[in-house]
Amino acid sequence: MKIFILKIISLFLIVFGLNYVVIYNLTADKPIDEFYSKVSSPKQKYMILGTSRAAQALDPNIIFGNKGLNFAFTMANSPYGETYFHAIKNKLSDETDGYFIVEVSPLAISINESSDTLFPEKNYFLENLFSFSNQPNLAYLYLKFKKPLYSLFISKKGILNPQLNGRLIINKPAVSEVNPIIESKLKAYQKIFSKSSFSNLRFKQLVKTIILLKKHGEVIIVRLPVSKKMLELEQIFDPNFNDRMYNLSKEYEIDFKDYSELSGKLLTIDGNHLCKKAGDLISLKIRIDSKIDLE
Amino acid sequence: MLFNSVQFLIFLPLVICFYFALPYRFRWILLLLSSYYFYMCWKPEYIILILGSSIVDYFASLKIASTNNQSTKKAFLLFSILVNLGVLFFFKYFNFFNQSINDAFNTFNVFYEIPIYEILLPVGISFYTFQTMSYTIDVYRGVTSVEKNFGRFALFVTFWPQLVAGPIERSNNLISQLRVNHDFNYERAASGLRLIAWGFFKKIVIADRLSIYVNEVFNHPGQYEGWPVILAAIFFAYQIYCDFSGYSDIAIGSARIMGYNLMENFRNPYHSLSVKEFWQRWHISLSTWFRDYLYIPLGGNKVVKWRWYYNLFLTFLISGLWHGANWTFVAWGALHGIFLVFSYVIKSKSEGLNDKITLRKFFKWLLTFILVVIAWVFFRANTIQDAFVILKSMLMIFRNNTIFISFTSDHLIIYETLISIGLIILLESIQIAGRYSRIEDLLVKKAFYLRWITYLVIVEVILWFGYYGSNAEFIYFQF
Repeated sequence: MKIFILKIISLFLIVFGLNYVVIYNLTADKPIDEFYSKVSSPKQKYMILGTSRAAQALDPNIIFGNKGLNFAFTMANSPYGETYFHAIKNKLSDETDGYFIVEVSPLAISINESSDTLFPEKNYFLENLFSFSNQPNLAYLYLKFKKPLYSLFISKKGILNPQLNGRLIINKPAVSEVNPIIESKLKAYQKIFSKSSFSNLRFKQLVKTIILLKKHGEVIIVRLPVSKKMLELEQIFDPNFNDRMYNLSKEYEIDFKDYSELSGKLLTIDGNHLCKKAGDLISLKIRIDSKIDLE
Repeated sequence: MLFNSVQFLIFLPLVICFYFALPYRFRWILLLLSSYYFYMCWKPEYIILILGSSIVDYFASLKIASTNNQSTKKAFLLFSILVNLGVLFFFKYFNFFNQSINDAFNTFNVFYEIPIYEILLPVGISFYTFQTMSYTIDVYRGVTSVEKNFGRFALFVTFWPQLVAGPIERSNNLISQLRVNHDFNYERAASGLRLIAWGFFKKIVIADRLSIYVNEVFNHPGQYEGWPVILAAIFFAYQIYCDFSGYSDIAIGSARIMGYNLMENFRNPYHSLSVKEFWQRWHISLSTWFRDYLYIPLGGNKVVKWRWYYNLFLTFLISGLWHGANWTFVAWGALHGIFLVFSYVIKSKSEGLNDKITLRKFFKWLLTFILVVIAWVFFRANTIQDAFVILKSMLMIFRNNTIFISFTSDHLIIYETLISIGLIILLESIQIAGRYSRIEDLLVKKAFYLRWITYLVIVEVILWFGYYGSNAEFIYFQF
């Protein structure tokens, strides 16, 4: 039996060693999908947090000056809650002079009452991920990477254009306010809004996140612009949202930058997500308005 | 616990190491506890059902064995069967029958809402229920001796390699092995590991890959026409085969390492030349179960012709229902029943024709394969209506439809479709080669370094071409 075990262990070590080296080289400095850079980069002290709005619009290179990481995911993965808090905590470096942009929106602190579970993000990969800064991140490749590994060898040219700094650029044309894409998207959001409501539990988790981040540096809460109609929907859904954010910023002595006034003035790709150029612009505005100078 | 999980990759070596490290007398305890743990990884509270079933069948069989009174024997057998089938009915079919009655009422404009309960189907309930029932029936028939050690009997019911998806073992085969002391055997362990690797290859590389194409087509009936639908139906035939036989291989391989021989469950089913032969090669442990405990007690073929056909049809109808509480499964079973009855009717007219002619053999194989694939359409479709839409779409082969449908990431569409077809050809080539001489034997005879390179290639293929993540569950878990 000893020989058998020895042989199995040898085979395991050969396989593990060989694959580790190959995967390491294939994934190093390469955003293999929309999330990999976020969970394989080292621990961070400059971060952008939030949902897909922030993931697509905010560029850490512009805001922090070629530093930092966009650690925002999607509405499904990273609404404010225990799961996202746990991920942020694991991604934070120990330093205390960091900078954090926390993107907020009414849906990111709401719950969908028709959903089977109060916190559906618990069914997604962030909940089960235990390593957030390993390269290669084998746990991520196993849990989330749904394509076979051989696809790492094939160069990808698609709509999604993830960046090494975590930002996700979508190669879709910007659309004007009156557009069938926006109309259909708004209908979908209207449905979501009708089934959702503000969540105190999520709000508490947002507060908890801010308290944690404050220990590591400066925090700015940001509300991003969307299309005019989307903003109208949000205002009907949660008319007190801005007041809540102002109160929060006062209580914890942090900045709240409300860019929702720019809604309709900047182009989006679907009414909800800013196009690349608009994202660059808003990133620059955040940097200037918040007087962030890390260079 | 899923076989294709990290958890299992830790569980398997741990159990095997402890198993051989322990003195013989304690091994069954380890196996029993590990089996309960294996099951409880899914939903701990449902272990009560297995325990309940074990207790009922243990005492019922003891009573049956201890009395000579035929009516007492019968009463205890009936009690055991009623309890087992009752639990199975409640958890698996209660809502289905309620819903069907509801629908029937609504058809006649009678609106009576029968409550539908949210019942989570216990994993593997059909498998272990049939296994325990066969034991009690065998004790009643006197073809197996009663097991007096409750622990060993409970282990027979829950033996983890085959607990949730078979093979459905007979007490004669498994209980007797549980009484024997097994020493570690290098060749047997290596053979078990090879079988496990082959099972993983079939499940992770073939079945999970095919499932993506299949899901896309079957979940959007009417959206695709012609070749993509035909390809999806063929892919499903191989998906379910690789999924289920892959599970059986891992189960048989795991048990083999510890010294237990589980029964063969699949024997190249798609090489069959008739539907009858298909059932001698597909899910053998279930088809023989139905043969021994339903078909033959109904009278089998030792009755008048119409009754024989009725027995055949009924057996397949119930076999369809066994697979799941949905009319699609019933239709699948009924279709196989019809195919079989029809083949017997035809056979009596075509007897004497020479089967050695290769072309004739080829057409027999093709016809069998087509019939089996048509039946699989009902098995996989979400509803009976969907199945008909899909079958209709399959006929539209003259529309210019590419088989490269957008079922996965855009840049992998062509690769993945071609890899899927290539894998099926590879699988069949290996299986055809295996008919003439066992692949394993060929491998064992090779030089050490060639064997190791082969193992390395298999593991690397599983790692690099396998699908991990959301498609992980085995299809037969739901039965």
